[in-house]
Amino acid sequence: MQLTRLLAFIIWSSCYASLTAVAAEIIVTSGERIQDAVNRAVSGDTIKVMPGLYEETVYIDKDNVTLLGVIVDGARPVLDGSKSDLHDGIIASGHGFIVEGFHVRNYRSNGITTQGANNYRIHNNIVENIYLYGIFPQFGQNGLLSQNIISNTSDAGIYVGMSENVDIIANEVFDNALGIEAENSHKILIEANYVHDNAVGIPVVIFPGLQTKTAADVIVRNNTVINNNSMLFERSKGRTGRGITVTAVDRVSIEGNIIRNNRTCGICISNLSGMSGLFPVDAAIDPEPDETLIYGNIFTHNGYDAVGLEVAGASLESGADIVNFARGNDHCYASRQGATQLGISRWAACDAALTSTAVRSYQLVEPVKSKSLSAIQKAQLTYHAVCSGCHAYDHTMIGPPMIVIKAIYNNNPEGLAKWIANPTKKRPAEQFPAMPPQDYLSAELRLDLARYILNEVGAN
Amino acid sequence: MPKQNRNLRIHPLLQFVGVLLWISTAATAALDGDVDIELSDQCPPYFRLDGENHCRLNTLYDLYPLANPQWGGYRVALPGRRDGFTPQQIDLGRYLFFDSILSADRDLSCAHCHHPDFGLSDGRARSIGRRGHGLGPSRSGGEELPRGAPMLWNMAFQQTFFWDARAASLEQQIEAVFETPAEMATNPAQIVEKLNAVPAYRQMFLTAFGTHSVQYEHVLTAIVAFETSLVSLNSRYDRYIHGARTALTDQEINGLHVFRSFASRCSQCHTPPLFTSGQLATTGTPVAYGSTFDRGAEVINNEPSLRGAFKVPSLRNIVYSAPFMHGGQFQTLNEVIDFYNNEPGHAVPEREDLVLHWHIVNPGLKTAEMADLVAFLNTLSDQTALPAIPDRVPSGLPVP
Repeated sequence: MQLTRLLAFIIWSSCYASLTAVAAEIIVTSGERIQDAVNRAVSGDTIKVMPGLYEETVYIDKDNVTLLGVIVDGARPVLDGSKSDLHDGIIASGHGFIVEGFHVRNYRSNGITTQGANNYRIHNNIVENIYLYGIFPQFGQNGLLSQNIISNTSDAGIYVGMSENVDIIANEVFDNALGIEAENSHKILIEANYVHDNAVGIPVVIFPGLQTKTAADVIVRNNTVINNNSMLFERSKGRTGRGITVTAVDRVSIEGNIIRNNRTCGICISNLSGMSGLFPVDAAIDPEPDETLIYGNIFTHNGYDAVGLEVAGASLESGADIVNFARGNDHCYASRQGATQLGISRWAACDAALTSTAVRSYQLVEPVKSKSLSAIQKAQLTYHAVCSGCHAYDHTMIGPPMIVIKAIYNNNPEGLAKWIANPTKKRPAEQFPAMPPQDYLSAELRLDLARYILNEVGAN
Repeated sequence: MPKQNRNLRIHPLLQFVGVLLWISTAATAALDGDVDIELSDQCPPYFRLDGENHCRLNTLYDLYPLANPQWGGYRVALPGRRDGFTPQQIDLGRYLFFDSILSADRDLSCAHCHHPDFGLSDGRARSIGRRGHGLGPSRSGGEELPRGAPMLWNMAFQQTFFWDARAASLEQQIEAVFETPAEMATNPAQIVEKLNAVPAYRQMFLTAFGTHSVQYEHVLTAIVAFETSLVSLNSRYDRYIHGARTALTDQEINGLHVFRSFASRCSQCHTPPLFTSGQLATTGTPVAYGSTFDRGAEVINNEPSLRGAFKVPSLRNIVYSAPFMHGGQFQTLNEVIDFYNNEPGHAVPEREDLVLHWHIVNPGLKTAEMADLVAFLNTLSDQTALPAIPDRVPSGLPVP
């Protein structure tokens, strides 16, 4: 028994060693371009960027690339967009993207943004002076945003849009229009962040007119939400002074936060009718929030003023720790939080069993994966997804028929795989247009594809 | 080296046999065509015939994970699609698509407004329905319709149809065109009667659906089968996203960055991989030349906040769909981008109080960035799956 275990361990560790050996480290030093390293990188590689000034937009449209800022005596690599007036600092669409240790500043659009990437980690970055969002993951599942420091963004410091299973942990977010915003998202954990001196601290919202029509299961827990009264940004002056806001999102749990000195409200809850005129009516969206839970928070001195608060057209003189404008069902408020209140007198008392304690993280245990296909299934899919656009089996379409190609490469899948990657002109251009190189398909897939063409492709 | 020798030895003979086979099949098809119209037993490009004679769409995007079918993204799988029609149904749909027999006056087919020579649209600001003459921009006479004809690429993935998204299925969309007085002005009974009177159609419906007379729902199914076979997912942009870095030039990659930047927000509504979110949006386009203000989705939804809202069109093959917008307001992509790179609502007529989509902002793009964006939009072209125009249709009417 012991021996088999030992043997298994040896086999496992040697496999692991050979796997990790494939991943390379690419070092980028001041004066070089980070993008050049990204272009060279393959899945699994880590790009280590030494301290220095990098004036570029870095984009990662491939999977499993790590961008690691090396911090030497407190000095970080700095990505700065001011000289060339650039839009974004870092854009990633690849899955498994990791970025750590950078200082990103002075961009016209976003600091760090992902679109459609799953399984990402954005950790320990400083992001400042960004025109829109500091850190902006969108259309992705399974991510972690932790220990970043974000300031001076004229929209949201952190904006999680149309996402799922994201943890936002231990970030400091200050001097932004909005601190940490979760929009049209599900299963978002916002925990232990220090959110101060923004106009609005933590807005949790659903907006109409987007492709997702629900938003639910957001935990706002153990954050310090103080002094969110910023007048720095024109666009948020009219709604400044709010700590945590919930707009028509279901099952938002607000627990264990320290909520202090937010001028209008510690927590504001509203429905979509408060947005009429700004957004079209979206019949697919339930305009009311349901099941808001407010439990175990410490409120001090919120709502001493009432910027922009109105009920039936009349301005309120002051706000409160908790201000509710919404209807919806099954909200609850736990006593002993000492909150001043407006509009929640009919709420039930929270049952401790309903708190979010059991949820330690919303990240997935297993990363989001593609559908599992065998080599031959992949080859078959690729043949029909790509080749069949131009080649039929027995008649000419845009390219010559497969029956001719099969004859040329009979018993030579390696030759065909090589040619697919780098096709050269064989026939007159007026008869057939040039075939585009298919070198983006992996060498393994190209060989499987060549075998599939030679062995499987037939009349039907 | 030995491999090459072996290859050289076998290659000329087999190539000769292959070419012979190729020529002989082509010849048989031509001969058959003179006697009768035979429906194809092969799936269109990008479709694989499964064991039950159904065509299944294959795309490289299926190799990616799908976190949420509504979101979109870059290296993500596509949402569910309508496929699974037989090759015969798809091909029958192609003949119906090009056959004016469907319309009351026998003068209008689907292809009159969605023609392969005009990117599956018609190159017109607003389309011309019944009693028109000619095709494309030079089509004249007849009834002018209130809006332009959308392209038909990748309909298999869409949930709603028409500029105002009023149809919830392709069948509903087709039926609306059948019924509209300015378009085909017909009805199910008329269509079935006319098709049943053509022996070739009876034979084709028998082959495709196994019924001895033409059934109305099969007419719809066949056209849907054909329309959902029109797929465009292999542009230079797609090759870039699949990993071919050199498929796009540096300028085009810069354009992609402008496109997906949150300053311009193009990708927020024209979300890849389909380049549409499928949502309604009020963008505040000017009133089309020679037309009046179009209330868009307000009408069908009876919802004032949707006044002037239209469904976000896909940008795939966009360069072939000029003039742009629902009423052909803009001739060039530069004009379109100029419109968006301006103060929100600047073109909205006075007295109109519209709820513009919140992504309509002035992005303040620079001239070079606008040029990069146009260059990028040019990379979204892939017309490899344009359908073949039939030489003739069973009714014997002229093929558009």
